[in-house]
Amino acid sequence: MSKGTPVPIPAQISILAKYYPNGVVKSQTLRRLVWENDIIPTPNSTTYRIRIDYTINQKPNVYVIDPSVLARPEGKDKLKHVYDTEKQQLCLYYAPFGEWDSTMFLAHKIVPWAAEWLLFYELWLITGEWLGEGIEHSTRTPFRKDVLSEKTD
Amino acid sequence: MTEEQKKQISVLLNEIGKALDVTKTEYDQITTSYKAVGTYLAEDPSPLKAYSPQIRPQGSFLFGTAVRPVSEDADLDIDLVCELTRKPANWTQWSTKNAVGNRLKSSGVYGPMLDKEGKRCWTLKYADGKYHMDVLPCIVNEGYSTALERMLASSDAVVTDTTAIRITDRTRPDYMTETDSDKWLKSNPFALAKWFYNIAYRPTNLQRTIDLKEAVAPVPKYYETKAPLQRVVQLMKRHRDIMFDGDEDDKPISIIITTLAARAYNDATDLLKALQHIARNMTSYIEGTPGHRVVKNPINPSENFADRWKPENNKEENFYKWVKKLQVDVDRLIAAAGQGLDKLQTLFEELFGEKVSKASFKAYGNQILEQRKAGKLTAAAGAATIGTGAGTKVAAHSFYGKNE
Repeated sequence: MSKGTPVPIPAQISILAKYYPNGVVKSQTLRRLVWENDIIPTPNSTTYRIRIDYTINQKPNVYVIDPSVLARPEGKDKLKHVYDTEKQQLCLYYAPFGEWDSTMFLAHKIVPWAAEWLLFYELWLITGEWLGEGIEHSTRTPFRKDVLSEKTD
Repeated sequence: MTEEQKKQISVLLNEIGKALDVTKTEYDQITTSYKAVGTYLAEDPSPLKAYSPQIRPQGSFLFGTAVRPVSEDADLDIDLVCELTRKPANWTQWSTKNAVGNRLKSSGVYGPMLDKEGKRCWTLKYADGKYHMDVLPCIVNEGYSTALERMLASSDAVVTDTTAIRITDRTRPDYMTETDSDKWLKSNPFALAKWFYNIAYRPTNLQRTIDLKEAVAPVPKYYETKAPLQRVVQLMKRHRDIMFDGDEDDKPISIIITTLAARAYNDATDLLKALQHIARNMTSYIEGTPGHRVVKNPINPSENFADRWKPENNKEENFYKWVKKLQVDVDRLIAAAGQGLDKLQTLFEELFGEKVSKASFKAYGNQILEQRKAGKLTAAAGAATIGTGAGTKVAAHSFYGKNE
């Protein structure tokens, strides 16, 4: 997956601690890190707690763990841009585009993307639209860019 | 409440203001419509040709404070003046009003659009365009256009009668008799517009100044960006419209709201700060005692904008009730800070209406996306709060969605 040398877990932790000093290392091995932090996606948002479960050279798994059940807009039962609605596991990037690999820092990419996911989640709750764009492959709800960029008057 | 919270609420309020605006398309349609009326009144074979009729907008369309009606079915209301020069010496207010009215009635297009005659205006209803126009016939002095241009170009605030218009009023005892237009009711709508713009653009940290000759023109320039005061007035008017839902007779009138808001304005460019200050202080610019209130026309102190507040109606009481509610609601907005965007949305919806509130959050989302694409979006240290201040840049990425 990665083209260069992966960032070692202790280095990941020290950079995470630098940017997000309140984050907590829940578990750490040579190749794996479980880390949690509170995120307030916009100034007037409430607090969400996320967990990153990351193994070197694998996709980081990012979950919203608090609230344990994220609200949905009326009439919608599935969350947008998640691997799994029940686990609240977020889809933050599209692997084939090389947006993430293990030479990168979680603190620089994954955490800001999770915060941005939460921001667009909050707006989705309000407007019923995912305004953050993205790539969706589903036979039931095909990705339609024209819908996402539709303008209201 | 943090500065960042205040700023975000102000951004959202500004987007509500934008959603309340007349769109460029509607604006073009409206100006095209009234230019056509002007041409019909001014050109052969119009008997009015000799009096050089000129149509101009006045009121909120000119101030940039117009708001779309709450109901999608309701009409936008455009106030226009129809200026005539060199009236025949024997014309009374009645003759003047009907010279315009008769020309409109004789048209196959405008005749059927005329509503019942108003106290001072003729009303044209545009069924397709969802708007109506109140056309106010009036007399202006010779040299009026030049005087108007000079007034708009000058930096001083001196108001003279050279830019005054003389209007007709069919409830006045001299309506059928008085031929000296200097004795008719006087109004100075463009001096008032200048007064308002000068206050709205007074803050020195605004990104833009305004060219009054463009803003106060027969076809004013369409501005997408507005001064904070203009936005605050729009928000206040929409708040009123929601509170007095459908009660057209009893709701506080726009000119009183606009005047008091401008008087109380503290030059804050943050909308929430400006709104809070105005809501708290605007009534201190009302003079007189209960039952005898006076809201002076700032450029003609002898005119009382509150002249229709009478002991036998509840206009005065309603005005104070509305200001009280506005103050309470602004405090609720402040209390909603940090409680979640959904809570803010629920409150916006209650105070300003569902459609504009949702449009505001949507526009906000679009702004965030554009900022990320431009590489300007950051996640702040600590709670990774998204913004444009100091922090880790939010790198380009694509939210991915998996079929479950």
